[in-house]
Amino acid sequence: MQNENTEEQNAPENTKAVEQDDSTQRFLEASELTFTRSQVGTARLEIRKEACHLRVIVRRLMPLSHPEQYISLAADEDTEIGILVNPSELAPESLKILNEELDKRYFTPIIQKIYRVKEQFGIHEWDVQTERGRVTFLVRGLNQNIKQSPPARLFVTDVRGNRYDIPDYRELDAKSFYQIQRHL
Amino acid sequence: MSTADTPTGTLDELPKSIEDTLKTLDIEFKEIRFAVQSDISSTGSYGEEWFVLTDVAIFTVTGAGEVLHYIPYKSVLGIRAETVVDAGLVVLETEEGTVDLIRYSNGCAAKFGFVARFIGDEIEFRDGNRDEPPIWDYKVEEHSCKSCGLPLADEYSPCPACTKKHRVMLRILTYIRPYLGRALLYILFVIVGTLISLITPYFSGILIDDILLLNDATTPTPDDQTTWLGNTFRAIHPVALALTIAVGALLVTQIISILFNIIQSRLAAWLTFRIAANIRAHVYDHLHNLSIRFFDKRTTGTVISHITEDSERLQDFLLEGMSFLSVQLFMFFGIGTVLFFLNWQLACFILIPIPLIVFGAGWFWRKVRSLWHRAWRRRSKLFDVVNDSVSGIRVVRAFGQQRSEVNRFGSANIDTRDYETKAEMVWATYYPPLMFTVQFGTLIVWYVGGLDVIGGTMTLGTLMMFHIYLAMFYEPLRYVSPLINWASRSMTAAERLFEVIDSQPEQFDDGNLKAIPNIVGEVKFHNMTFGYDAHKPVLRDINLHVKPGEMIGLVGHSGAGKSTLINLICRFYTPDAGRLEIDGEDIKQINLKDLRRQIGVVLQEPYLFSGTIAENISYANPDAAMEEIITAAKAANAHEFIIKFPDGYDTEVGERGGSLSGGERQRISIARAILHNPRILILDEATSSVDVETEKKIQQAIDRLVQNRTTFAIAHRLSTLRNADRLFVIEKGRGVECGSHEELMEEKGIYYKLVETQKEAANVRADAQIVER
Ligand SMILES: Nc1ncnc2c1ncn2[C@@H]1O[C@H](COP(=O)(O)OP(=O)(O)OP(=O)(O)O)[C@@H](O)[C@H]1O
Ligand SMILES: [Mg+2]
Repeated sequence: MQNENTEEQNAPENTKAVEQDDSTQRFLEASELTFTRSQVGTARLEIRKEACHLRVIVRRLMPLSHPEQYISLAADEDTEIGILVNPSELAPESLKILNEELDKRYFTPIIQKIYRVKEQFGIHEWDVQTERGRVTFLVRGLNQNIKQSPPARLFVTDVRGNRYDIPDYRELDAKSFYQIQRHL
Repeated sequence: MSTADTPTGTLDELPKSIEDTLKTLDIEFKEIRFAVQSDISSTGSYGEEWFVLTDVAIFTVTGAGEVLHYIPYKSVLGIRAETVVDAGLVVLETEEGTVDLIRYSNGCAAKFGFVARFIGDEIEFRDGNRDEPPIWDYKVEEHSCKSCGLPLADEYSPCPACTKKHRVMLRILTYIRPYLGRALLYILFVIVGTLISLITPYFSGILIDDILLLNDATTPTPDDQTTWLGNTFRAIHPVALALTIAVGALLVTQIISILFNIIQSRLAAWLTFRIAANIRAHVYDHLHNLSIRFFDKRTTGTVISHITEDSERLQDFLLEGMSFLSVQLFMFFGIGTVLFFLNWQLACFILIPIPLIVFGAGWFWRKVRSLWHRAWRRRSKLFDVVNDSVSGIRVVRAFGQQRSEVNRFGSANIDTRDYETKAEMVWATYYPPLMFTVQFGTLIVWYVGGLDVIGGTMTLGTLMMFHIYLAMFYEPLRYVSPLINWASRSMTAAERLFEVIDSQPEQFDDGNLKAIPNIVGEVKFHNMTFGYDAHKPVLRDINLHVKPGEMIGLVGHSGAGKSTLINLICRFYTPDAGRLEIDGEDIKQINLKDLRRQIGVVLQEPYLFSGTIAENISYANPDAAMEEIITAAKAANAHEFIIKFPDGYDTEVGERGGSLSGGERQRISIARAILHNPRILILDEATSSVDVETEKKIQQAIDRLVQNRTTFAIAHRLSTLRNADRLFVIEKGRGVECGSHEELMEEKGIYYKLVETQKEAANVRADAQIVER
C-alpha cells in the first residue's frame, strides 16, 4: 500500500511531462502496459519505466463501431493517459482485468432473446434474456423510446431510464423477431 | 459521530433475514440508519444487492446475506455516485484507497445519488467543512400514476390506464358538440340516402318480373309471386305505360339520391374542416402552456405530427369514419333483413363465406399494415435526409460533399422504394383471392337461385333483386377488417393527442400562486441542485444571495452549468433539491405570468422570428410605439445598421433571422430585452459575436440598462464583466468562488487563472500585431 502511494505521487508529474512536450495524442503500446488488481479491488495500471496509476479509468472511444478497440485510459475523469488501440495484444491476465473494467463502465445489456412484448395502455412490457440475465421492463410509447441506428441496431429505453441494446435485429431468432417486427 | 436524524425506512426496507445476518457478525452496531437496494450484483448480472448504513459502518450485502464490503464510517473520507454508461456506482474514498462499493442501474440512480450526496455532506459536516448537518429531503423521483401505480413518462403525463378508451371515444365526440345540429342533420341525410338506395333494386325487380317478363306470354307467372305494385301497374295501364312509369320512378329515386348525396357531402366538408381546425387550435394552444421539459423529451417532428397528422386522423375518424360506419352498419343489417325477407333459404347460403372473409381480411390487414408501417418509417427517414442536407447546404458545398449527400439520399430512396414495392405487391397478391371469397357467395346464389328459377319456385326478377342487394350486402363486409384497424389507429392518434392535452401545463396564474406584480429583484439560491436527468446533476448545492439591483457575472468553463442556472431563474425547469427564491418567495409558488413579464433575456443563441425587425424588437411589447422601438434599437447599437437596410425597420429578417449576421441578430435581441424593460435581466453571451468596438458600444448600452435591475451576465470575454458587482464562478456544476474582481484576483483561484490566460492570449495577439507592422 505504502509503496503504491509513493508511486502514484510520481505519476501525475510524469504524465505532465509527457503532455507538455507533446500536445499530440499519445498512443500506448500494449507491451508497455500491465493491469493488476489493487487490494481494494480497483484496476491498477503500470506503464513500464514510467508511472503507475492506482485507479485507472477505461473508456471506449468507439463503443458502437469498435467496442473491442480504441480504449482510452485515464488517471481520473479529466486526465487522459493515452489510447490503447489494440487491447488484444495485452498479456492475458491484463486483458482480463481491462475487460472487467470495461464491463463495469459499459453496462448496457444486450438483448439475446425476446420472450414476449405485451402492450397495455401504450406501455409495452418486454420480457427478455440478456447476457446479464433475464429481465422484464416497461417501455412507454412505440417509437419515442426505440432508437434505430443503421444498419439494424436498436436501442430500447425503459421507463426507468435503463437502455438495452439489440446489435442486429436481423440476427434474432424468428420468434424474437416476430415480437418486435412492428417496431421496425 | 453525531448523526442528523435520518428517518429510517424511507428508502428501501431491508429484509429481516439480512438484518439478522448483520447482527450475527462480530461488528457491534446500535441501529441500521438506512438501506438501499440495488438491482445489479457486483459481477454485473441482474441481482439483488444492498447498501446498508449503520451508525458505525457501511456494508454491502448480497441478497443471500453474504457481506461484500465492510467499511467503518470513520475511515470514509469521501463518497460519490459516479455515472457510467447506462449504470452507476458508488465510490468511496477511504484511508485505504478508492473503493468501488456497489453498482446499480439507471433506475436506481436517483436514490443512490441522493444517498451519496447525503453521506458526503454528513462527512463534510463531521470534518468541519460544513456549517450545518444535511437535511433528509429525499423524494421519490419515479413518476407513477397516483391511482393505479402505472409508470408515467414524466410528472406532466396523464395515466393512460385511467383515461380509459371508452372515455377517449366520448371525449372525441365533444368536439362535435358545437355543431350538434348539423351533425344530426348529417346523420339523418345519411340514413335517408341509404333508404333511398335500398329502394332502387326493388324497382328493378318489379321492372323485370311484372313488366318485362309479363309481356312474354310463355313465362308462367304465379299470381301469388307478383307484388301488389306490379298488379296495380298491370291492371290499370298497358305494359308500355307501366314501363314508363317504372323507369320514371327509378329516375326519380336516383335524382333524389344524388341530391341527398350532394347535400350530405357538403355538410360533411363543412363539419370536417371546422372540427379539424378546432382540434388543431386546441392542441396548439395547449402546447404553448406546457413545460420546457415536455419539449426536451420530444423531437420537433413529433410535436409537428401531433398537430398535423394526429389531428387529421382524428378528424377522419370523426366524420368519414363515423358516417361510413353508420351507413355501412345500417346497410348491412337493413339489407340482411331484406334478403331474409325475400328468400330466407337463399339468404342462409350467403352467410357461408362470412366467417372466411372476416378471418381472412383480418389476417391480411395485419400483414399489410405492418408492411405499410415500415414503409412509412423509411419515407420519414427520407425526409430526414433531405431536411438535414438542405439546412446544412452551406457546409455541404464548403466541403464539396454534394456527391456523398446525393448518395445518402439515393440509398434512403431505394430503401423506401423497396419497402413500398413490397407492401404494394403483398397487397396485389392477397387482395384478389380475398375478393374472390367475397364473390363466392354470389356464385352460390346464382347456382341455388338459378335452380329455383328453373324449378319455377322463384321469379327471375326476385333473383336479380337478390343479386343487387347481395352486392350491397357484401360491400361493407369487405371493409370490416380495415375499418377496425383504421378505427383503432384513429383511436391511438386520439390518445396521443389527449396525452398532449392532458399533460399538466405550467402553472400560469393558478389562484393558489403568489402574485408579485412588482418584483424587487432579490434572488436567492439555497443548496439548490438540479439535473436535466434526475440521475445526473448538472448543478449541485448552489448557494448565492443576490441583492436587488446587483449585477452578477457568471464565470466558468464551457459546460460548467451557467446557462442551466439562468434556465432555472426563468423557471424553464424546477430545482430537484434545495430552494430558489425570488423576493423571498419560493419560485415554485410564484405566478409565472408575473415572473416572466418581469424577466428579460438575451439568450446564447439569439432567436428571431420570421417577420420584420420592428416586429422582432417589439415581440414582448406589441403595443410599443415606433419611437420606443427606435430608442431601444439605438440603445442596443442596432440602429446604425438597421438604417442602412433599404427597408429599414421593415426589413424581413427571414426564417430564424437567417438574413442577418450573428452580431446583428444579437443586437436585435438586446434591443428586444431593453424594450421589455424587465426587473431581472439575463444576458447569456450577449456580445459574443460582435467585434471589440461594437461590444464597447453595446457595453455602454448595457451599463445604462443594468442600472437598478438585478442582472445576470454570462461572458467568456471576462473584460465584458468588469462592471459586475460580483462574480460567481461555477466549476463542474458547483459554485466555487464568489466576490468582486479584486477579491477573486487576490484569492488566486480559478477566476485568477482564467484572467491570466486571457491576458496571455491578448499579449500574444498584441505581439502578433507588432510583428505584422
Ligand atoms: N437540455 C439539456 N438536456 C440535457 N443536458 C443538457 C441540456 N442542456 C445542457 N445540458 C448539459 O448540461 C451541462 C451544462 O450546460 P450549460 O448549457 O449550462 O453550460 P454553460 O456553462 O452555459 O456552457 P457554455 O459556456 O458553453 O455555454 C452540459 O454538460 C450540457 O451538456
Ligand atoms: Mg451556455
